[in-house]
Amino acid sequence: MAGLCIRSLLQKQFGFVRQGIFGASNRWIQRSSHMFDDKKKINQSTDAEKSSPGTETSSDKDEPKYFGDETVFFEADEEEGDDVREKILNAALEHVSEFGWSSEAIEAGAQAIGLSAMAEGMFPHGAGELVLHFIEDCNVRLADHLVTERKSSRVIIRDAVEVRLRMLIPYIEQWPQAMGLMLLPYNAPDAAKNVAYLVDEIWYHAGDTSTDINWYAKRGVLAGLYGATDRKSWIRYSRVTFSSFHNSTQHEWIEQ
Amino acid sequence: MATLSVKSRADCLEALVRSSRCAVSLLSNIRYRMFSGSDVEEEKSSHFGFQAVSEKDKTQKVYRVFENVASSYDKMNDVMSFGIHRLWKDRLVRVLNPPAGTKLLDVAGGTGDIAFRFLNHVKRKKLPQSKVKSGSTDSHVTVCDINKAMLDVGQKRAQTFFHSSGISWIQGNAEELPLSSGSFDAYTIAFGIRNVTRMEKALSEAYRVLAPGGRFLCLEFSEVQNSLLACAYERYSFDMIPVMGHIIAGDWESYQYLVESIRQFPDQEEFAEMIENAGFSNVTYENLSFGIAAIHSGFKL
Repeated sequence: MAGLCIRSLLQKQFGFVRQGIFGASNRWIQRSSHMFDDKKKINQSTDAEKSSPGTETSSDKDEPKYFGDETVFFEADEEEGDDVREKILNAALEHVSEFGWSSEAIEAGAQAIGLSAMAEGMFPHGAGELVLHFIEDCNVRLADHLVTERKSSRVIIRDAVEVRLRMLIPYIEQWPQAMGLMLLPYNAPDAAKNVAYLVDEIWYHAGDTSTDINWYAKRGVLAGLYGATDRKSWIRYSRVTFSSFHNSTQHEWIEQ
Repeated sequence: MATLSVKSRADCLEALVRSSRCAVSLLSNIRYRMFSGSDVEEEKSSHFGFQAVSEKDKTQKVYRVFENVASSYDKMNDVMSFGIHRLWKDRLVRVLNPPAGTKLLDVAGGTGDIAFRFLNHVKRKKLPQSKVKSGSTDSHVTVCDINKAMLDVGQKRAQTFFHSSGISWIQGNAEELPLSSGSFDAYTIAFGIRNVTRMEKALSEAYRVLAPGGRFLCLEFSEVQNSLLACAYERYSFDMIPVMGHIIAGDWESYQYLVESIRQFPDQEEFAEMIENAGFSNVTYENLSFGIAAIHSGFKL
């Protein structure tokens, strides 16, 4: 049973990650899985359209719009709603130090952009969605960073992990709470997806072109490494005082 | 004593006779189609159960129904739904999950079921320290009902449950709320919107009184998703509920109306679309008990 679950998860996972190999830092890749399923449907429908050339010319207003050749679609209404959600979550991140990763932080975020605290109800998973939003945002920022940097593969991996870990510094005190939230059953699949995306992105920019078992091994190793440094960095943080943490030089902190 | 039992036995007999007359769901389906068809053609007409009536008549008729059933309303709800309506209402408040300082407007909530649950929920919730300091913690619920008799029952219950603060009672029509725009964080309507004559108007009023970011929540009977269960539910509601209404509340017609009005109400998707058309964003719904009831949610952004 468990094996089946893992297998289906992995299938979903790698199907998803393969999409990411060629697109460098597209924000849409990190949308939730149902968005991905929708996209599959759209792909199917476009295939159907291609097979019957007569229907191609007729374009209704209600039909989703396509941008580029990646069949990314946006519907005007959804985009507006997502926009507000993103604004609320971004504003909520500033209240994490006060309320932790919690619904209260989202409420405060909603109030900060002039909405009623009631808007927190837009996030049925509450704090989990806030953490996922933060992780996704960090991954996108990392991807943007990697696009601009051009280094040798060994350096790039170390550099990427370091840059990524540094993004957690503002929230290091609350980070164990976030890690706990990511282990909850309804958050874990998305959390795993984000790790998969992260390591795939790093390997892509490190120039990995493997297509055999190496592909899996490399990603697995890097995911393990990243997870370990993530936890290690927090354990180390919890041992040192806050001031000495800030005084320590970059490499000292990351290499130990 | 003897006369009483004879009378109640006669009542039961009459009830049974009438139930057999109403039991043929096929017939009611035909009636349903006939009248829903004629509704579309005439603009000013509305429906009262399966009868086509003018809009003005509908409002009056609905008023009379709830005037009649007010005293036994809660008891009948318990009997008809086997107490499940309490779980549905609990669920509604849990979905609402009101943060401290919420201003709630509960429309068609005359007997205070949602209002009391809301107040209990807010009382139980732990308050974050910063909010305690700033003093924005007092939540408030305004109960608005068109029916004076229902409000009276609610006010009496408020006294027995010791809810004196944080609640106010207003008599008003959901289509023309006597309240200022943007003054509420949340709007709930539980088993009420079905009885409103012009639903679109009630929805746009809901949109008006909500503040930006405010939430609209509606608990209402809906379409049962499982076809086998739908069949059983159909039989139960047409054959049993009016009978129970007659025996317990002494009112057949009102409960016949209740059942018919449930069939007239749009299904989940259709109603979600209506909410979207009123201007709400992020409209979602959740089925309760296989879709016997549904909670629709929308946000004013």
